[in-house]
Amino acid sequence: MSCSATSDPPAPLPGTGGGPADPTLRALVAGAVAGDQHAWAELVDRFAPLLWSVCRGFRLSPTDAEDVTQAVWLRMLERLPSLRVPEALPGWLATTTRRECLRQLEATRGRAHREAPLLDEAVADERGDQVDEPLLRAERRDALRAAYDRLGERCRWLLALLLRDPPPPYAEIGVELGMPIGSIGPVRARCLETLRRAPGLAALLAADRRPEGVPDAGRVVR
Amino acid sequence: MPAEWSAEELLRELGEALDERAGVPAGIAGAGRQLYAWRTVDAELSELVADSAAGAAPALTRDPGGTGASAPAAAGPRSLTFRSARLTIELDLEREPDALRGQLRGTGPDLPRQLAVERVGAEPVTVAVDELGYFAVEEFPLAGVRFRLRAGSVVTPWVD
Repeated sequence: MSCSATSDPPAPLPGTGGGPADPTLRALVAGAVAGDQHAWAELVDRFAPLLWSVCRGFRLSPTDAEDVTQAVWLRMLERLPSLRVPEALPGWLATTTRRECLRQLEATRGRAHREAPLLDEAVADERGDQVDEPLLRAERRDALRAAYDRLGERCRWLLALLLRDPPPPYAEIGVELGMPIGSIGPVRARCLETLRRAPGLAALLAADRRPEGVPDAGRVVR
Repeated sequence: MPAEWSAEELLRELGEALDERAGVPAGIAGAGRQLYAWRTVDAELSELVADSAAGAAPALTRDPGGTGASAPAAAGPRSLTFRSARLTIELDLEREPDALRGQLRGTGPDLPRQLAVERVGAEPVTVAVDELGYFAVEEFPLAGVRFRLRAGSVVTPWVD
């Protein structure tokens, strides 16, 4: 429903890491830099959907997407030690993946298309007017997944049930979670509110609702 | 003031986000996890200071010819310069067929006499460097490579 008197802070640009600290991400980055292979694996697992979703926006084949993501993982590995703001990593990954996708498209289409304005084509494939929207969406969904994973077990379970297609009736959910039917609605609201306030997500949610007409399209083109 | 996402919108977006995760091909994360072996631990990472294929792209997200900003001519080699504390590595990458020529220039008296060209998933190739610092590799696939100087313990960023 409506939020009570939260004064909206100016949304930081996505990818600048201006949001609140994300302790999980910080710990994983620090671990991977220090030589913890599991921390690296967790970082890869977290960001694989982000990379994949950007690649899918360019309609890359799975083989091409694997080439692209390998290049992106290598850059991430190379850059982690000098990364000052771990929270900037998702935005950096989204941008880097897009660049690698464009390069891959250019390589597979061959030199005959070299003069063609490839980026413009790719952007038109996406959404036309909102150049940054695919990247914003990729970042937002990454933050959502990270926030979901940090929810308590009951919240995760309930939201997963509600996301089934079709969602089971409340009576069934109540039985499965051992919860009176009357408390399902309030718990659902609380879980979503916790999700909404997760570090990093609030800024991305706000960024998506920029007023119409903000001249940000074209920023990326030249 | 931006509108709030409603609970329904948020839930729907979460559903999309989780579906995205469920649909990722296994190879994408699998390949990424294995790359940890390529971590550069004790070598100094040299800095890319010039790239004829890049416009004025920032160093962190170099963009060789990708966005159409001053796309390089198809002919002619791509020239790259890497710099570390003690060494400068100049590379000319030629295409069709792929070939590599370059020169090491150092500030100290001894130039390394060997250069390793590394590719992910392949054995590194060792290249001899002459006394003036010149080296050349003919017919070498140049996608996703980096260059390592064992003596100087310097490695370049990945070039593709």
